[in-house]
Amino acid sequence: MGFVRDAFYNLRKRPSLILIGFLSIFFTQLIVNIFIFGYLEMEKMGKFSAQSFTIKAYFQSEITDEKAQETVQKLKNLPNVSSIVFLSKEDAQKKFLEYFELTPEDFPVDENPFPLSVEITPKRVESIPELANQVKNTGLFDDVIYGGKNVDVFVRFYHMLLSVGSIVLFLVFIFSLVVIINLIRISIQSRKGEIRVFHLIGATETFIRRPIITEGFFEGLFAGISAFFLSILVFHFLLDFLHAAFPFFPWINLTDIMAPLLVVDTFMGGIIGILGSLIACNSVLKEVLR
Amino acid sequence: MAFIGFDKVYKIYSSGVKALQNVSFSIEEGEFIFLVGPTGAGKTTLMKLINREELPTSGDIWFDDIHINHLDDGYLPFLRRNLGIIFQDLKLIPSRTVYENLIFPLQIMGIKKHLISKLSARILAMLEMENRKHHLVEWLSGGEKQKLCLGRALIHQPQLVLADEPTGNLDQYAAYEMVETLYLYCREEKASVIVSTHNDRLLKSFSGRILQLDQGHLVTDRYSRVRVKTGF
Repeated sequence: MGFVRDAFYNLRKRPSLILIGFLSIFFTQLIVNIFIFGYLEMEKMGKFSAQSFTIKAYFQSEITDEKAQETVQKLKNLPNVSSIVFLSKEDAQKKFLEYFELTPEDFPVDENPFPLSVEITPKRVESIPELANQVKNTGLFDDVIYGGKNVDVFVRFYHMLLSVGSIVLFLVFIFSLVVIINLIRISIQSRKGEIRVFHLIGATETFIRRPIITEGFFEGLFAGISAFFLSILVFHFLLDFLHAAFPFFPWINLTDIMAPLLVVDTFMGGIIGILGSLIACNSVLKEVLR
Repeated sequence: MAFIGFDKVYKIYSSGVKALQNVSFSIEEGEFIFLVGPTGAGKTTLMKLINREELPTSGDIWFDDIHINHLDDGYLPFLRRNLGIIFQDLKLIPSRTVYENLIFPLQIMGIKKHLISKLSARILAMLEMENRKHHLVEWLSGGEKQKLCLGRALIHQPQLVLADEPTGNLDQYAAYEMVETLYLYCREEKASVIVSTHNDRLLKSFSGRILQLDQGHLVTDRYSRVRVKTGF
């Protein structure tokens, strides 16, 4: 494991370069963490809201009870359906009367005018429009309605967060990678003499690359872990505040985000470090060893 | 086949300098060779060609049945591991300790730790530098640096040692000691040693083959026999 020792030796030798690289990955990871926080919060909101955003679908009048029951079984198997409740004409009338606090005598009708219907609870709010379309496309329903504008706003916001988040993540990843590549290039250039000596006395390229890549990996890993701890600290206070200030809102818990943040920070930090040093090695080592 | 062979080797640099012209010779295993000639005669170029730091413009170079100028770059490190080189400009790493510089060839070869400490202890004792083991190279005197280079060249017991002006920074006595170490290594390990030098007194102190270069031409190839223990 001499190359690990060499990597740490190099890390110690060039503190200013290392600090710049460290900070660049550190801030990238912080941005990533904010995005993960936002994403997980949206997920939680989505799951929470799914309980209140149901799809109501009214069967065509000529559909029989048996056909309706059969359709309900089919709809149950759709991937985005969490639960489905079938309402017979009687159930619908009962619900109507209860809602308006009426008795059957207050509402005398010869024939029950309510259609057969289903109430579908989706697994995720953002899947409501698609699910509603699927229900509509069966051709058995007169009307399919759902939360309308509220759902649309939520879904639009969800997709916007995903798109903007992905673009921002991609950009910060590229920025961080470019910084690391250039810092490692400078680091290799400053060690040019040393590397040439290694090469002249019989070091293979792998032997020369190993400590450089290890150096990049540890730089990324430390930055990722540091970003994790800082994020956890900030989110701890933020969530405490949010839970206290808006208790009815479905805030995530700190324990929900710890594992994803730790995995993403260590993995992504390490990957940026390794990838950056690999690209730097490929571009500059040939020139140094020439 | 000879251990090292040069066949009609030319080396012309891109600047137009003709460093070597039609140089042919062969060296057998265990030979001790002085490479002499004035500055610019082509001694360093010849060493660099053996180490494949440079490629010849034309001609063929062989090392232990390997055609060096056609050697794939991937095999280059394995060729160099058979060589021990004392570079003219030393090529030590100033920010590292004596011990770290000394053991580089062994680390590169993936030698086990316990063997590294055993071999390095032997070499440090031979160089009388045990007390300098953990000193940075930048703290050493010129002579000590030269000795360290000698140690680094011999620690992995190479088949061939190339010493390019190894006595440059040394006084006569230290120069004699250094060449004597190389001479004894050659005799004991049956390794070939090529020492390039300007120092005529050294030529008169050691038996060996003398290759003389002048303006890139090999002008003399002769043997000198002297009693080694004569000294200065």
